[in-house]
Amino acid sequence: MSETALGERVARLERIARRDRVLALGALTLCLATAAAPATNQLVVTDPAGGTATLTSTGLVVRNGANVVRSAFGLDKDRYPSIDEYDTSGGLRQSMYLLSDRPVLRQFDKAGKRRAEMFLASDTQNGELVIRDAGEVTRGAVFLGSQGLPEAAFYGSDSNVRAYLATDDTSPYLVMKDGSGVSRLTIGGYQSGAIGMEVRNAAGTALWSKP
Amino acid sequence: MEHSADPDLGARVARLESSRRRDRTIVLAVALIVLATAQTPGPGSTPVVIRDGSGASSTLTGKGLSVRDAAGHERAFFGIDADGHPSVDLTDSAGRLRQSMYLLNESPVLRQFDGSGKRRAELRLDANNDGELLLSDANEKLRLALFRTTGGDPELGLYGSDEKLRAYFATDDDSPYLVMRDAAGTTRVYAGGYKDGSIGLVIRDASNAVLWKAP
Repeated sequence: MSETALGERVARLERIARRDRVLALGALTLCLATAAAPATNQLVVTDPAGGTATLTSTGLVVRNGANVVRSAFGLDKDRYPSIDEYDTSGGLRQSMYLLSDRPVLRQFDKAGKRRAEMFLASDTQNGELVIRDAGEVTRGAVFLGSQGLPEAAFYGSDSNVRAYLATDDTSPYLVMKDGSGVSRLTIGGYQSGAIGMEVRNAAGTALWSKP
Repeated sequence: MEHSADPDLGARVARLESSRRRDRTIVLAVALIVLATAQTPGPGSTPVVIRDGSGASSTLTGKGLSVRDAAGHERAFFGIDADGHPSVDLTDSAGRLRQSMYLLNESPVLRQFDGSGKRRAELRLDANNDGELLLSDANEKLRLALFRTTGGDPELGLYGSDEKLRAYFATDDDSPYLVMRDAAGTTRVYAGGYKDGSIGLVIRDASNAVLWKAP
């Protein structure tokens, strides 16, 4: 091969090498610019407003544009299965979850107090619906009691029961109590098996009864 | 061997060899970066699975999101359930369904189940789209209900273990009324508004005879 031909071949190889170098550097730059983190820990989807949905091994968390968690689904920090809804301030306002395997639906006020709750009791697994005041004192409830009897009850701000309507298999009964806890009015079945009505004074003495 | 008269040719070849080695390194680096950062195709049919070191995992499929604990039990599900209902299901640590919020035949239902799988509490809309709360005992017998009657009156009903109504407290637009029945179904106490518009109180015996009445 002549020296001239060899020189031309080397020159051609040099041109190819320069072109390939540019291509390789371009590919490297593109990879570095577009590479995402490996999807082993979480998957994040972002919307134009800045909101995000983050999928992790324990569930899905949705944040608004201000990065405040608004809803979460999956296993909560205590590892209870849960679906939670938060207000714009990040306060938990509604939660449906299993508390130590016990189903609970809770609604909270802005101060974080439990105001309404539907759940199964931890001991009997009987159902209850409870309404509480701002001091988290139970004021109204319908439930199946510890003996399994259905009951609707109203409570004072001191959490003491004032009135309840309940029934066993024999007969229903309605009881009204004063602030001291004395039964002042009873309608329905007595423990003797009779059914009637009775009015008592503050000392618990019968004032009137029928039959 | 032909000796080159151009002393620069050897240097140019050496540069080419060096350049080839560098370019090969760059190509390998690019390949490694591509492999390390490869993502599951977004809109494809392959489930997305996220796991952590404890063994807990979340699986996103075309049917919804399922979360499993470290023991492999599905603890929470959100999406379209096996019956095609949109649903949120919460399952206890033993894998039993304990709470479910879903649309049953297009009607909303929230159900709470005991450890034996019995429905114990339920909040739903009935066939007339009226809301109702139902509490049942361990035998799944209805014991308490808060609902609207077919006539639209709001009512609280208490039931015996035989699932028969024992007491109900309700109201129409004229007046409320409280009714108490014995196990035989006989009304023993009636307090409140009568159908004729008057309001009073009646106590009856087991044979339905009036024992006392006022006014």
